[in-house]
Amino acid sequence: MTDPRQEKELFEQALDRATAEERQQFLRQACGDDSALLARVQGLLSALGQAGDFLAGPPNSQAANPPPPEQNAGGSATVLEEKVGERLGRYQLLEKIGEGGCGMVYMAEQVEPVRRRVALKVVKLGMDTRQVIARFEAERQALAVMDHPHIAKVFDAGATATGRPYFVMELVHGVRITRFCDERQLPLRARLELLVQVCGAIQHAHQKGLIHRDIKPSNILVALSDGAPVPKVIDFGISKATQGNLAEQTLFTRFEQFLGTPAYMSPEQAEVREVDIDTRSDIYSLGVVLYELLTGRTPLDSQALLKKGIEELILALREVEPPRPSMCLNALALGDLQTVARAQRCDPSKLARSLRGDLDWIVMKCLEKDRTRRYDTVNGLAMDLRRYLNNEPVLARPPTAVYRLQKAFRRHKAVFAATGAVLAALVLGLGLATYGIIRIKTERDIADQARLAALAQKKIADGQRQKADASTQAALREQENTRRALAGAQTALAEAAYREQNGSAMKAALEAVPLDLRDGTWNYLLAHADTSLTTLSRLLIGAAAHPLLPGVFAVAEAGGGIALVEAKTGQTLAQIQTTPRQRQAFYQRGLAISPDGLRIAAGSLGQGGLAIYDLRAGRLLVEWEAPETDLLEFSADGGQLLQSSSIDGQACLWEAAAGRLLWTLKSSSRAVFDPAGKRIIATHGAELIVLDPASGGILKHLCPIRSSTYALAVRPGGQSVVFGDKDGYVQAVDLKDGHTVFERPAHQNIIRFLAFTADGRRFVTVADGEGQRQSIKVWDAETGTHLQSVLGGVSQAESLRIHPLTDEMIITGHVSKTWALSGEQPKWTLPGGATAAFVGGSSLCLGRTTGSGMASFRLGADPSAPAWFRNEPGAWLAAASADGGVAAAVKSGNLASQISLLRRTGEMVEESRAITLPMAVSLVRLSPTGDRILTFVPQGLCSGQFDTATGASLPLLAGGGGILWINDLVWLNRTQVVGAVTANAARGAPGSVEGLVLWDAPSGQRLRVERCAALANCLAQAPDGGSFAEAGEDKMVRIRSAQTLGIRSEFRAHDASITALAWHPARPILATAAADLTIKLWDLSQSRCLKEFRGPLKPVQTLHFSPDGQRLVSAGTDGTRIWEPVY
Amino acid sequence: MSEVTRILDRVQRGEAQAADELLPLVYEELRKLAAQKMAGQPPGHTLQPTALVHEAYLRLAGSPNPEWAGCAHFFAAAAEAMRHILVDRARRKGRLRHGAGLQRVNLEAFNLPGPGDDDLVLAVNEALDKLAAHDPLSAELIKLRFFAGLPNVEAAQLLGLSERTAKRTWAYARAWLYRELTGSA
Repeated sequence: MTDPRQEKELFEQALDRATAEERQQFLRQACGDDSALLARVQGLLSALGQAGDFLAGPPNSQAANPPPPEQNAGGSATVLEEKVGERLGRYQLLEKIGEGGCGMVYMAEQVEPVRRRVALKVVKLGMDTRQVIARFEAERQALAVMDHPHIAKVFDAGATATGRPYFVMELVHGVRITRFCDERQLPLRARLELLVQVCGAIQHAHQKGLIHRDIKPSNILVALSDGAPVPKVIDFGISKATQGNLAEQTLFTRFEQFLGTPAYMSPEQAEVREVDIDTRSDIYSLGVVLYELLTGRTPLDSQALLKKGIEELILALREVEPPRPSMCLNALALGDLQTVARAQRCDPSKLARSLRGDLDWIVMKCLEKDRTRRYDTVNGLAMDLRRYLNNEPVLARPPTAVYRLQKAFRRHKAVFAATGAVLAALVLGLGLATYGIIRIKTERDIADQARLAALAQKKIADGQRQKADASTQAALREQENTRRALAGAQTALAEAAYREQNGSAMKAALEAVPLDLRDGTWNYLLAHADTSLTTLSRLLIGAAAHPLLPGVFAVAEAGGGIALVEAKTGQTLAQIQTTPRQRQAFYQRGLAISPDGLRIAAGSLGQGGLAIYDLRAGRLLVEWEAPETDLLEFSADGGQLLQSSSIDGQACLWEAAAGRLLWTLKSSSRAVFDPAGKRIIATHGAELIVLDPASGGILKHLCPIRSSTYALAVRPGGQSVVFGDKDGYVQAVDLKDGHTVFERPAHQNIIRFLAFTADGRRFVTVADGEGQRQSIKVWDAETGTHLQSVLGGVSQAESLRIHPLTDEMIITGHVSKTWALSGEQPKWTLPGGATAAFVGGSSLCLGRTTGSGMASFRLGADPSAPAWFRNEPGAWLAAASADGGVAAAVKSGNLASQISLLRRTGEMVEESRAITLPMAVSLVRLSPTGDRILTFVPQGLCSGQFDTATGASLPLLAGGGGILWINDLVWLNRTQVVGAVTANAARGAPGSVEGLVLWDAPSGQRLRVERCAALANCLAQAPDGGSFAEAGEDKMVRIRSAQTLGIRSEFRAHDASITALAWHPARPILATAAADLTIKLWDLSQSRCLKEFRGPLKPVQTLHFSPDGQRLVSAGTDGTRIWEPVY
Repeated sequence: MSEVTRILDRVQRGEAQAADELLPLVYEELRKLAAQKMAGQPPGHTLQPTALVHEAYLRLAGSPNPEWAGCAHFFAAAAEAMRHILVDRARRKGRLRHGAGLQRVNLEAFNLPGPGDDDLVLAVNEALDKLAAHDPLSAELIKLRFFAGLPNVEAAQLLGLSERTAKRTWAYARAWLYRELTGSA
């Protein structure tokens, strides 16, 4: 008898060895000649291999368990694993060559009718052998006719003595494609060529009617043949046989399937409902393999997702748009990037660049969630890869405007379906046989549908006028329905145009909605259609601004004149008459005001030269002949004038007093001064350089640029330079060492202009949009996060200026407009914090998920010095009573949560009591007077209640009714609590129900339950306790009755799901925050937006008013901001 | 201060026999809770043991104890109690199935896990005693994870193991049990 402890020790040590061979070797050495011990440990290892998810969860989650003990109770069939040397039918097992989630693979020798080496795969236990073999037989015919050099043939299938199915395949010597490419450091081109070969094989099978269903690197083996890599696709027909009909699968096998290789599974394969899997599923999987070949990663980190649960994984497969390959690389840590680059024998800095554009689009076309958007055939993918290799334009293109409109349509399918139904009724009713062809086949038809519907509507109207006496009530009703459906369709069109940032299309669609059908969403969209301050309806070219002229821009008018206009009103305040030479050139393209605000320089198109005028007197100071101008800029001391001209492709530095040329830099499209005026940053050929203004000599080669760059600006403060290129990418580069701070696709087309706001925290890009429209976006300067799109841009832009004092923006062109970029700034910004609560008017409690734990700050004093803090890492939550008398600081951990109750005494906050719970807490809420506290325990499915004075446990809020999760919880008054809950299944999973539950806190009894149509994320109670606000995924805010939970009013509040709410303690004002990164204050009496704050770069998780209503705190993982709104 | 808290305090102070008093209390509470939760639920409905155990804790030891280190004992007791409940239920159902128990048994109270795995519960239970004889740690881990449904992290913390050690121990325990149950090797 061996010692079990020794057995355990060896077993655990063997587990540390990565491969089966290493384990065997280790064990043979460790056991020496103790063969009994060796056998026992080997037995344990193989038991582990077979155990699957045996005991993986508590007993009730084990829908199917692998080892029903009686099955193996007697007889010789107790040996589960085939042994080398054993014979299975006509095959003799020679050597185990692989072990996967699905079973064991052996090299075997076939004895008859031919003697040959084959691969034999024994499927693991837990599958119905007869069904597996029956399904295999069904495909056998198809498999037999498959004959392709890159497909391993499947010869046979059978059952082992223990009843497990096995498959016999052509023996392939090779390693998985990803490993092959990395080990041999295959460069990009060779990788693509290899994949084209694989595509050929899959295409062949598809033509024979066979779908692989399980394409992944381990099923594509590559070996060298005559020095050339030859891929072989294995396991054709096997996954079909083993997966079979999804409906037949038990939860267990489904789970098993996910455990294997969910990363390569197409979204439709992940569907819980039965979906027909077709060839496009294989195209998706090929896309994943291609992604991995390019980036070394799969698009979705399936293992990480799987840890969160199958629902999470399925959701991600269905919903989460993976990053493009080039962006995936950009996001890698340097070390990882170097590894990927080394494997492709490529310079790390060039790697992402080589994928950007065509390859990105090819991969993403394969990975479309909607299979109709993927390549129609594998051949299509192969052709595009070949086109790429031959430098021909590929068919995969960035999503077009039409496509994105279609996506919007998909979101509003119901509305369009309604239009379609009404239309059908019309067609029948009118007997317009010619319209019989109209059917909703694809979303692509929908735009046409809407037009046709309008036509039909017109016809109906005409027809009804002609036959007025014949018109019936039914016809009128139909007409009304049509009218409503069309109005809905127009609103949806407007929303789609909004996403497209097409303000004019938005307006047109909104105008088509009849007056009486304009609802809250209509008003919301109209307010967003054009956010400009004023329109200057004339052609303007150059523009300039100066802090001494607040709210005023200098603009160049047609005919050579320069006008000073007020940004708010568009009114002309003064004009400067230019010289005859400049007037002859007609347009001044570059304008610049000297740092002292006394002079203005103007540079012309054509032969107008350069001129400097006295800005106050409006008279000429100096004028000289110069090349054409694009942009002008004074040096910091005003002594020099930097002129860039993309037309001539050169930059010139002039001495400003006399117009003397200091130097010229050729091959430069843009040059700018750094804020200190000590250096000039300029494009030069295919790189960005730093110049010495005095000599024009190159001080530094900063970084390469990938394509023509016309938009270039140095961040105020001089840390970095940001530029936008011809392909719509923006890149920020550190001026010290030239490293890329961020780089991302920003626009679909060429970026023309880029400018910073005065504080340097944001920058604006202007690019050519679809058609003639400008695309205007605002970005965070630190991270490159997209903050906002500005709507209202019309034709091609001629220049962009942001006022250095007022943050007003002007974009000139055929129609010029001004906007206000300035927003209210937070009064204080504190680092970190996801939950925050006021204790009194000036003390703030902040719960941080990372860093220094919990802190209480005294606002007014130095907020960086906390008044009370617990410097313990962990997830901290903060809550406070509505009267601000009591706060709770909760440190939530897996095993213990500590609730510290803080009481305000005068201006101090003191800890009064602690409650410890041995579990995680995800939500805490104090009653209005702070006498009770509710805690929601995620795994406990229940909400605990405690007395804050004594710490005594009070009745739990009754769970049941399938409640799984409480998304938010608020006290309506001293005794009643309302919660937004998810029941029956995880949120969003089939069968899940969202609802509101009203509890009586003293007894814990449920009083009322109301189902919600949309997913409710957050709640806020009215100070009078008579109503509360609820909001969530559908961007709407609903005010509900506290008694009936019924809806009193609702309005559209944001462009993305709403993440936090707070109700002003004294006024009918509601604060909302959403994933669109805005915080808004609403006047509830009019459903009107009063204020809009921007600043957070991550969705706000908590909003909370101070008890006096003076302050509002917003907290999210990127920081906590305290605002003092003035109404 | 609740009775459970008092007992846990005594355990903390080193009174070994106090731990024995814990089990019946937790056991009764879990049974009551299970019965209450199952009442009115459709047949086949299941509850997560983890949820039950957590909720039992809230009810039994809900009052505070600032420096509370006694939860390890609580969860150990709860895991043991869950094991009793599950095994008990499996035995009763088995008797019913075989016609032995004609008396009506209050099945709701024991309808914790889904149908079909009673045999597994019983088999694991039996094998567990054998495992405990030579490797009590592995057996304890099985109880916490399989019967009380605790995730690896929590079970590891309760047993004072590193996550990695807990994982390895879990692998061994599973392999050992699997071998034991299937009679392989």
